[in-house]
Amino acid sequence: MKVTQLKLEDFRNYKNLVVDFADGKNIIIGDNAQGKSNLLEAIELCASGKSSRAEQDFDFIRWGSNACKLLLSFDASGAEETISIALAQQNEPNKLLSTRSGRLQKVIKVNGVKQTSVRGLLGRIPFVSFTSNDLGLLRAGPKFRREWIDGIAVRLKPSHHDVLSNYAKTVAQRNRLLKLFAERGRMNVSDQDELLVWDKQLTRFAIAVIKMRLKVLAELLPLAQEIQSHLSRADELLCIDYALRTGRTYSEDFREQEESDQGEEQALNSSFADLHSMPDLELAKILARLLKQLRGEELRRKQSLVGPHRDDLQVRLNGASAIAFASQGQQRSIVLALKMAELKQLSETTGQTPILLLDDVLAELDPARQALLLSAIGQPMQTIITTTHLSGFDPKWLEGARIMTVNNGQIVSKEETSAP
Amino acid sequence: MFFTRPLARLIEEFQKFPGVGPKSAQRMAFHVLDLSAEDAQALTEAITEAKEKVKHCNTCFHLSAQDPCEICVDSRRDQQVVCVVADPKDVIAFERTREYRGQYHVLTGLISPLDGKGPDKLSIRQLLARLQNETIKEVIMAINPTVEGDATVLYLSQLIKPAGIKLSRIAFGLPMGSDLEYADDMTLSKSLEGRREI
Ligand SMILES: Nc1ncnc2c1ncn2[C@@H]1O[C@H](COP(=O)(O)OP(=O)(O)O)[C@@H](O)[C@H]1O
Ligand SMILES: [Mg+2]
Ligand SMILES: [Zn+2]
Repeated sequence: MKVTQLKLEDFRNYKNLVVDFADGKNIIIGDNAQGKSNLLEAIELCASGKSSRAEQDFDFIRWGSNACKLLLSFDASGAEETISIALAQQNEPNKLLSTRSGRLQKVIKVNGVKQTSVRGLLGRIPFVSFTSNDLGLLRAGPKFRREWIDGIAVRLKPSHHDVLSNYAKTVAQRNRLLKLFAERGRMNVSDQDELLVWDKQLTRFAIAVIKMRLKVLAELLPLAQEIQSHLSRADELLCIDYALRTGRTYSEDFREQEESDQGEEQALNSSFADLHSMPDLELAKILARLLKQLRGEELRRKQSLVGPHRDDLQVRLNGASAIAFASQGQQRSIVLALKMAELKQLSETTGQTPILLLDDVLAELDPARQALLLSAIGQPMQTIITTTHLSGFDPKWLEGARIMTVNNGQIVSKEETSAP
Repeated sequence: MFFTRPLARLIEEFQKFPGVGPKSAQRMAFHVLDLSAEDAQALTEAITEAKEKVKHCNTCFHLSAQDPCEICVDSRRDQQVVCVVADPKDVIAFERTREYRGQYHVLTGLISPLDGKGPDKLSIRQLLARLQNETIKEVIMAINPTVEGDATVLYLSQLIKPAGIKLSRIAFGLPMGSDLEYADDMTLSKSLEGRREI
């Protein structure tokens, strides 16, 4: 799989851009805030319908403009295909043009054919993105890790997107109901029946979301373990636990765990292998018990506190919590191992060579690790790399790369280094 | 201002229609201006009459100019089975097939807290009354398999199942003429759930 060309119109700080990519290494150099990440974001958006940076679709439209267009061409086993996304602000007839509110019309096309939802573009371009933010995967909040694992799941199995969106819808519906009942103060029999329905819906989709996360982990972990022990050249055993959260904040849980090493909470932080082999019915029982336990707290907080939207992944190295005990260097190795495992898993599952998007991250790794990452799947991958300077790279490694300089939303130079 | 006030107003009204954007609204408004006086009169009368006369049937909640509606009073129809749908449009879709000859009950929506739709906003109480008072032995739920549709079916089955009435839900699956290979997982798993013996 290769992306061949990206065309942008009024996307972020790009007014008009056409960029052709080389089959191998593409390096995008530029000072800060010139548009390097925006360029990778555009590719990610076309490949996944989503960006990890944008809070709302309006953010994509270049300031002062009211529409944007992205067109990504790619080579899928010999045939040229395209994905395009167009966003246009639908103004109320008598509102000022400059307001960044109102409705945004979104048109997604695959090979020129309009898609009814974002589902239509998923799974067409297998990719792994690795940004300097990801280096903080272990230290970041639980939401970051949840989005990471759910993102992998959708890339492995595009229809999982529907499960996630049904789950999110269910949580939103249930939260509204909790708010309603909390404000009303008292629940009658019919209210209880109604909440029971949403408990059942929540449980049903929660199981699907959790099971998929566990399946992804079950495949990913052995790959990551192997890479990790190779990277550390030591007997470091990498483990990941799936923590069913009970709604308290992460730091609260964490503190409590340090205080007492037992109790219900601890019992739920089962190793994913236990959970993975657990029948759905057992999992449903655990969720039902948590729902019952936390009903009062849910009504007080007017929020659903049980389910995969509160869960977390806990990484351990030789049994000890990696956030608490692993050194910075070890934490980086772990993230690198996980990312490499992600590449392997994606290429094994899809049978295609994924594209690797590296934002500001490669120069942070030493040359040996750079080389290791780029050879993760044992065959040449297309990589698109952003960096502020070339000095961090192994000169030999730069051979045969296409190097482009981006300045203020424009590609100002392009050179092809001679092949090795 | 591009449009003189009465024209702008007409465009605004058309733009409130589902699926009508500014351009189509403008086209529709210009079309109205081109109408003969009689045709324009006929249009306003049609709107007024429909609005005045078309009401909910107080039994099944389908739209009709008479109460009970044409379907409810038709004694040739099966009185023992009722098909529960969300919307009057679904009744029309079923009637078009000419296959189903039982009763209907229109819920007038689905349970959706986010839209302020609780069970009390739907015609659920009236459905339960019908199940108690009429000769109904079987309920078929013809409700879309969405998050809100499933929630509504769950809610209804919690209430109806204990009464010992036969309860089923229509199967969802592959559209006719479609190819298994290209069906998405959701559709495939739904159609597997709804499989039947042959
Ligand atoms: N919607 C937008 N319209 C115009 N400029 C934008 C928009 N969103 C972000 N930018 C600009 O893009 C620049 C950031 O680009 P980015 O790709 O993150 O930089 P970097 O090269 O450091 O990765 C900033 O100058 C920011 O102001
Ligand atoms: Mg950047
Ligand atoms: Zn009727």
